[in-house]
Amino acid sequence: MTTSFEGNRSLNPRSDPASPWWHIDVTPVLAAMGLGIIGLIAIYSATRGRDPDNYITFFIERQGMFLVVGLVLVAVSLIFDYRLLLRFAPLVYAGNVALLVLLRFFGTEGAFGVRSWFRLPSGFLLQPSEFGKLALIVMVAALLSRNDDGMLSFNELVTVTMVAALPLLLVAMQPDFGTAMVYTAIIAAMLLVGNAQAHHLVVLIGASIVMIGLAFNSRFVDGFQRNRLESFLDLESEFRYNTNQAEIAIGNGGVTGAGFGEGTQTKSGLVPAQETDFIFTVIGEEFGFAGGTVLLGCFAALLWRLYRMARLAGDAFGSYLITGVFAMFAFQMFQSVGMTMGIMPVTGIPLPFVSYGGSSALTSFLGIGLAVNVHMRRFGAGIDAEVGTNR
Amino acid sequence: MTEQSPLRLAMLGVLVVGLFTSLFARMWYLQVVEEQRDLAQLQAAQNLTRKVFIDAPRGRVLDRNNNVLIDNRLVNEVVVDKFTYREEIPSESGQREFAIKLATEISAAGRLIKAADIEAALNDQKFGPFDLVPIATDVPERFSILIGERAHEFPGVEIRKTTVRFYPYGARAAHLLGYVGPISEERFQSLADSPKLYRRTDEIGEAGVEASLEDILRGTPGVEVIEIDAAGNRIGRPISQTRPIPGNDVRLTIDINLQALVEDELAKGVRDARERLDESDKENPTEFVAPGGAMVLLDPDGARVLAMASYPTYDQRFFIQEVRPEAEFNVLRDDQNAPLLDRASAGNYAPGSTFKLITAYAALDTGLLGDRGFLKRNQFFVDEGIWRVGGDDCFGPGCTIENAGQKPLGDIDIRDAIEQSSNIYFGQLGFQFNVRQGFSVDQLIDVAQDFGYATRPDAIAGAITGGIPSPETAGAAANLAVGQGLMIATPLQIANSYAAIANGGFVYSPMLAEAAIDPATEEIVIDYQPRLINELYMPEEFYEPLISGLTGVTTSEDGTAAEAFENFPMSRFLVLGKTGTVENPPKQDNAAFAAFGPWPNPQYAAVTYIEQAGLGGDAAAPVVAAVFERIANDDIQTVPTEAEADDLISESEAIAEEERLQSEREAELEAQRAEAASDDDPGFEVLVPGGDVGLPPADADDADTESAASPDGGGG
Repeated sequence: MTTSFEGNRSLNPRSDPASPWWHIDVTPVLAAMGLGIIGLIAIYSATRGRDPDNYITFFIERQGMFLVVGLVLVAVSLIFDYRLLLRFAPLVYAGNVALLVLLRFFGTEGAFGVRSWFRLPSGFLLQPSEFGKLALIVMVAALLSRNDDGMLSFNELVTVTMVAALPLLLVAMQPDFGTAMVYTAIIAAMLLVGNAQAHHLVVLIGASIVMIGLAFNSRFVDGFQRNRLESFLDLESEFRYNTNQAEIAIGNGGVTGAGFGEGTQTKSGLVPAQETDFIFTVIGEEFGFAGGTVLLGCFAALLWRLYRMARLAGDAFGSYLITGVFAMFAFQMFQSVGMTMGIMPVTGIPLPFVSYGGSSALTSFLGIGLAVNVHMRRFGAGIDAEVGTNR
Repeated sequence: MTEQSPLRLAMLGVLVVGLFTSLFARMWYLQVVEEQRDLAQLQAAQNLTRKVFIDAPRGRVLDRNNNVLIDNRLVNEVVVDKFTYREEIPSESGQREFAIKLATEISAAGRLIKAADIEAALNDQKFGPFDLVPIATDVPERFSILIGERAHEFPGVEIRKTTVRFYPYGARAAHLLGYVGPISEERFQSLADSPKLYRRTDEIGEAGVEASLEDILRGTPGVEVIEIDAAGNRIGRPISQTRPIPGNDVRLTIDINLQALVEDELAKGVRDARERLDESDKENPTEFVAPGGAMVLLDPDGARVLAMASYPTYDQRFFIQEVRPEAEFNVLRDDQNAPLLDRASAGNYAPGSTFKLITAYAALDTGLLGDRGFLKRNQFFVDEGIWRVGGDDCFGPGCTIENAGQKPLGDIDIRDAIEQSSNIYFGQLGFQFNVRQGFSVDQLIDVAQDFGYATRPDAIAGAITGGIPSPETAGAAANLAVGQGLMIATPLQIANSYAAIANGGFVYSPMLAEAAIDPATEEIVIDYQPRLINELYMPEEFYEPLISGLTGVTTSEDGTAAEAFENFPMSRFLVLGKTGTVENPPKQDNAAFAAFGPWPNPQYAAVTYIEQAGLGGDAAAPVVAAVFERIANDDIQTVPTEAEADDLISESEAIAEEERLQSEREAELEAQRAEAASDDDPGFEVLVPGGDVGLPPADADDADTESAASPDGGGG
């Protein structure tokens, strides 16, 4: 723990080296902005249309706005001590579950009968399951941090699992299996880092596999979803078309890419959902291996900083929070990029900071804010003690 | 104090490093590995463009006088957009209902079609999920109107214009002209690199001239390369464009008037044969079966095919339907009289006694008839009417050779042997080829091949090669010499060999196409020349006995065809010929006659071959005589096209209403009609399965079109 310079207080927080504002790590924010800019370029290429005199800018304008709002959110969120979340975790969690339940009744019905969005006035679509990822992370981190005596006991594990399973099920029943997979990845990573016992983890993984198997044979999974997953296993399937076209697009980019606006696969719209879930195909085709490397490099920088932050966190709660955010980004990146290259099944998951979409962008930025928040306050003494007394 | 867990976190870190590694590896594989990248780039290029084909019309087929034998006609075609259809009607029962409804409406409009055929076409794998599937051609305008009004009931059904083959002379020359049909998968594969740009949905010549001259007749479709998006919409202007090039017209060596004459006379000959009694079994005479026959008329100069007919025939208009009614097609295919078989070029026959002339030439050429041979060239030989081959040493089949009716012909030389068709004389020659020192039966086979036997006439699609198996025994050799046994020849090959005799020893490969003509400029693109395949050594001392013998056949009292040419104007048009009566156990004998004329400057060589019709002199020779007589008298009718025939009738009807004003013209036309009717023979048997498969209704005067659904019906 550090000593403070008692006699040298100033109104400027930065004059106090112990002040959290001295310890902001801007690298993840810069990496996120890098990804956001790559995303803007790719979104523009995918959405500007074919008329050179009349290119469509609607999508990049909106996305640009989301990025700016995201940055502001990060800045604003840093004002509040993340430890407040420990107190409000049940509230955040309950609010999110309530939204997910309401979604079933008031959500906008999308393609294939999926209800994932609220239509807000002014035309924005709010996707509660995106923000729900953070709510889940906060709740699980809070529960895990209550364990202060080594390995997670069976009772504690059951509690965590039950609490985590509720939003997961609600999302899966929308049905949105992509997001449900992200939830699963987050929970698994947090349980791993949260000292769940090895044999408990093994059992849980086994149980998840059984559950997924059952789900795929139940009425909750319609033929469409099943076909997409099966197509991943079966090379001849009609449903492999999307993946095929995506792979062609990426291969077409080669080492240096076709150049901005020159991707023929992109232009002809042969790849679906190019500005959202399949956005990596645009980058792959127009900027090639080089562009893809830059993108993955940004992710690597981001994740490396998050990893470091998780290790250096001042308390377990903070560490778990960052672990959750870390797992969220890592899994979404792998799934979204891997899907376009045929090494993961096709599910609709946005590429954080890059894909078009407000809910995703804001959630991702809030995730970054959370991590930076924890990191900048790592020197606050007696966090655990303080939390403990407040419990 | 919670124990932080760097180890657990490190495990997570390692896992994520693994994720990065696999993403990089996959990216490397897709974008940097050359093979993969090239493949993707190729596919991307293909993805972006579509080739749109613009069909080029097929060339026409003309006869030697530029009468159009095969033309094109613009008709309505019903097609189904498979994608729309499947989107709108996903269920199997719905699709079945759709097929029934569509079949009902198309049929009601006047073009009969079965629901099962529509279903089969829509399920045909050769059409891709976005293709237009042709359902029926030549659909009356009424149906287009119906579709316009009730489009929503028939999702994906469209009408477009297309060309179909049109035969101005109806079913004339059906075997010769052939037909086009849907390209088979194997054929398509083999033509993948053709500059004529075949597609799976194309049609291709399947038989006759349509098949043999496919390369000339087929046009080259125009290709437009257009840029498209994922929804299949065009983007911008075509990237490249070539214009369709129509196929070339082909002028044949055929004369349609001679063809019609030959067809009609052959049909009459077959019908006449069916009315005669087979008295070979004296106690129990039966009628001749005469299921069919063939006739070939060649110009000996270059072996140009002037006319070639096979009986019974079929109506090739049946084949212009894109969806062929399978059941009806099977009736044609399985008919026991084989109407689809071109007997003239693909009939599996023994040449019989017509082959004796080849044996005679072979014996002269090899010296078997010569100073050091079996007999001197003009030496006499005693024909006792029956001969046991090689005495008691002969074994195996065919050891006894006998003349017709075992008639002894006495002292005969080569001329008499030809004239009276001595089996003993020629059987003896075959035997001598086999046994005599320095001779071999292979010499006879070689000579036959020089005459074009066992050689495929490659100008004729579907023509068979035939064959001359080497005789194993003395008896078989004797039989080969008289044209019996295992040898296989076609009427075309026989005619070709007689054309070679007629022109003094020049053997040509039969020729059917005279020229390929650019339809736009009328410029001759290819001028086909006769193809000489052999020049036989034919000195006067060989030629004279052959000609003398052949002359005797038709002119001498003892000649086997003397009766058929009894009243023939020989002074103006001297015909030389040779009969053949081919043993065909257990069936009745086949009748053959090969001839040429007018001697000494022969312009025509002809063969008539009628199955199970008895003596060549009785059944086949009269047919040749009838054809030659019309030629000799310059009495060749100009056959009207079907449209002309129709015009004659409708005009006469109009005239009937304006009797007084045009009485003269009416009288003239009536006279013409009367003349045509009297000269028109009862007709050529035409098999039209199912009767009304989209053909124009047979008009009253067109007696040529008889429906004969039962295999042995018609004709009588």
